[in-house]
Amino acid sequence: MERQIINRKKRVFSLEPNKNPSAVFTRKYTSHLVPALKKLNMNKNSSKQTVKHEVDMALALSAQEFAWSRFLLQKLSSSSNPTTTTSSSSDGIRILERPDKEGGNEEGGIEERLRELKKLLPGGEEMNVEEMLSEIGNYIKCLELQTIALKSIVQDST
Amino acid sequence: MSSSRRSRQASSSSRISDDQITDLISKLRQSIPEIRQNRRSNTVSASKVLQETCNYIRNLNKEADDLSDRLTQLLESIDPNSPQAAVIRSLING
Repeated sequence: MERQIINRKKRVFSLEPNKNPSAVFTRKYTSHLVPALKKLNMNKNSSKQTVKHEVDMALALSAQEFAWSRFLLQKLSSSSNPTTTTSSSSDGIRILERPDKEGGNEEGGIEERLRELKKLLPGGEEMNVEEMLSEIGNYIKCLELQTIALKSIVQDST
Repeated sequence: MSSSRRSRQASSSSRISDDQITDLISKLRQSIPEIRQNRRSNTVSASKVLQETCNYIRNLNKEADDLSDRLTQLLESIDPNSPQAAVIRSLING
């Protein structure tokens, strides 16, 4: 299996320039999520919705230097319904592939894909293209690190 | 170049410049493993790169959902006397 942790330090987070940003995120993520799960367990309140809420909250809290994280926090905090999840689409409608000529509608295809991408990035629909440029790579990397952390927790528990 | 970009932004935030598309595609190529590994990535269209990116993000979010569900099952299925419960307790209290 390919290890998704990027060895080359092409990007240094300004807040902690001397530390490995991946390790920092993972430590923050685990330190937020495990106590939250402990609390759910003690309260016997571990439904799918509450666990997912805590997973999303841990993701947002572990990367607060990014705009997408603050948008996600805002969304989670303002929602009294804990069923809110990052992966659910607001309209739930998938954009269908059009039979238009691919070559002739290259720019149309790009615009469509960009709108789709903006929906997937928390707060993306409120960002201009410049902001999305700087946010999207970090969001993807944090999602990758989240997957690694979650797998570690689940496997430790099995 | 930057002044040109700014002036274009002023007119409409929904219309993006070729420079911005180039920047975005370049960054996405670094972010998406499938595209990184693809030797022919230079010939892949911008639209394709964006589509791959959307799919990749959806897959990561789906995987997070699945792992979250497994955590839920583990927490709900704990028998206080089981060895599994002891492991989970040590993890949570660790």
